[in-house]
Amino acid sequence: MVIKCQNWRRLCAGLLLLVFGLAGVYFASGLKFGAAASMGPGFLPTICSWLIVVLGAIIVVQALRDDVDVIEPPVPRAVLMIFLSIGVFALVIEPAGLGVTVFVTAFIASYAGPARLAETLVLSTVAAVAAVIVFVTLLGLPIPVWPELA
Amino acid sequence: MDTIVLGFSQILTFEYIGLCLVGAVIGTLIGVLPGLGPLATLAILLPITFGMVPLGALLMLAGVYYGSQYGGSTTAILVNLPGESSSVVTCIDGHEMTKQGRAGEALFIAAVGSFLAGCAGTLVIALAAPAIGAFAERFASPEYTALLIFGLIAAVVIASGSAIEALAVVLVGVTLGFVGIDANSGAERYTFGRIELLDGLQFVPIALGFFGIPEIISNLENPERRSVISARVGNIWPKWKQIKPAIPAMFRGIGLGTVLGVLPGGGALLSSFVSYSLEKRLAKDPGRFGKGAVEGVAGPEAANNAGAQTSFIPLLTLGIPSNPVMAIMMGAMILHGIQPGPQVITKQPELFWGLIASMWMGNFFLLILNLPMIGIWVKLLTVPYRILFPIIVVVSCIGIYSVNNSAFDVFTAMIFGAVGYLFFKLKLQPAPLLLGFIVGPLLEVNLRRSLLVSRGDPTIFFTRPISAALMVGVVLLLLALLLPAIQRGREVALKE
Repeated sequence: MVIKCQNWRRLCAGLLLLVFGLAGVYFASGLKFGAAASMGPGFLPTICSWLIVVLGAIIVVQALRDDVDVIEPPVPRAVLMIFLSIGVFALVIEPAGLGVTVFVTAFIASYAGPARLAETLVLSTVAAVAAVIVFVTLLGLPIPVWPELA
Repeated sequence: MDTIVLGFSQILTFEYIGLCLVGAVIGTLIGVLPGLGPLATLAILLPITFGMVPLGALLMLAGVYYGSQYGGSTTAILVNLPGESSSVVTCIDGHEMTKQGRAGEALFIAAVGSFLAGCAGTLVIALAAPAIGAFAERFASPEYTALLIFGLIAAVVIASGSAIEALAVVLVGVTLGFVGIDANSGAERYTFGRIELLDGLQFVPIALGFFGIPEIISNLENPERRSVISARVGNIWPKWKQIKPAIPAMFRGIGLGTVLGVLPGGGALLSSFVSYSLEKRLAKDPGRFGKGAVEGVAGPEAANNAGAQTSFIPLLTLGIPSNPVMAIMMGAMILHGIQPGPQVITKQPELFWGLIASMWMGNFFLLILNLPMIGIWVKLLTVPYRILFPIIVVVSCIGIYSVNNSAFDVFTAMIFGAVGYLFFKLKLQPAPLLLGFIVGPLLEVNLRRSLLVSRGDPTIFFTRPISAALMVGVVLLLLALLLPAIQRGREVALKE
């Protein structure tokens, strides 16, 4: 039998929730379950995860007989550059300090949209200087400004 | 009366007045700029308030929230873009008025309506909160369990989109709240052996992951056609004749917003939508709506501000957040060592009344910021998004990092950002997830305690009058979700 599905959005949403629920059940399986009067650490996580599994399954079934609904295709460049810039921030902040990190992060993030090189360089520099002044000098956050020389 | 005096005596210092003004300015700023909402802003600002005294931090964050309701209307009226989601309906008639050269009139009515609603909403908090708080002090864990479940289910019913999806998403949020060491047994749950996860997931990376990051990407995916404002603002001091028809709509909006703001899942957004459809239904000549009807601006703008104000009531009296913005306020209170709940009013009156007094002061600042100084905000609208969003990314990263000086938290935000983006693409609403995450741990503690007392007998929730009433409410709401007739009615109501 061939299953025809027109509501891809709903189907994927249901499957995503189903995966969440199953992962929740699996990773709670090593925890003591206990009883209602004295719940173990695994009691509520297991119950909640099973509920998610059930609801996810219902959504999948509903999706198979639902109206058309599509998922809008992503714009790869925007998605990639934004996540890249955040990842770089996390990797660089500790060795390189705030100034360099902000410059690099702002530079990479700019290329998620319609960036122009000269403008981006100015923007990143201004952002780096402003970030140091506002967050370290004015607000006194304990973040190192310069790279560690070691 | 003494209490109000106490509140003002707390905040009439240079520092508090300054912080209140800063909150109002930031709120107006992000309200005016499309593509940055109050929720993400509060999540970014939260870690920055660490060094402040608790009252200072709270009154500033509160100012950002209600301030954004003022700013949002400016963008809606002038550029036909909702600067902030609850001003979507203001676009309809507000921008039409701009096209007719009546921009000044629309801005005046929006600002004055917002001001009156903000003041009225604050008055309702001041009058109602102590009574509700006193009532809630008699609550024990079964009542709290029932109340929390009721709040979560009600938020699901009100959420837009499929109710069954929202229900599943709430449970995902609750499950994320389990991460970390279980307080009762000391067992590690969902920590995958990471030391950083022993204290549980941090609130800020989750909030920015689900609300900040997907919002930036979606703005980049759908480049806006922001028309440069050619229309002149015109005279912002309209004649009495022009204001008069707006006044009854304003008061209806205030009444509606005050009530809807208190509901779980309610707040500014819902209030403005309901107010618009009410005004349309009451009008003698509904045909004028969509063609620059004054009531279509006055009603929703008053309603969203009243709703924004009264949505503080459940948080301040019961310790329960009614919407995601209040969940962040709750996170802020906890970070500053205040356990939200009925005891705040009695044990820390200077904090509670100081916050109330600051709301009046903040609304007054906002009226000044939004009427005589409107020109500054209009100029801001010409800043292109390609300049704004890298700054938003950087400030978000610094905000997340600075909570614990932890690069791990930034990675967490990246992972939740990816999940949040999937949610966005699949049109799963993330708001219930955030509520579930913040309410989950409270729910678990109270549920465990109740069932320990009753020795595992669940009838404890039905034999105590208050909790029984709430549980009946939960059952009715769940039945309502299952009945197809009501489901259709809900869809129609949400569409309007």
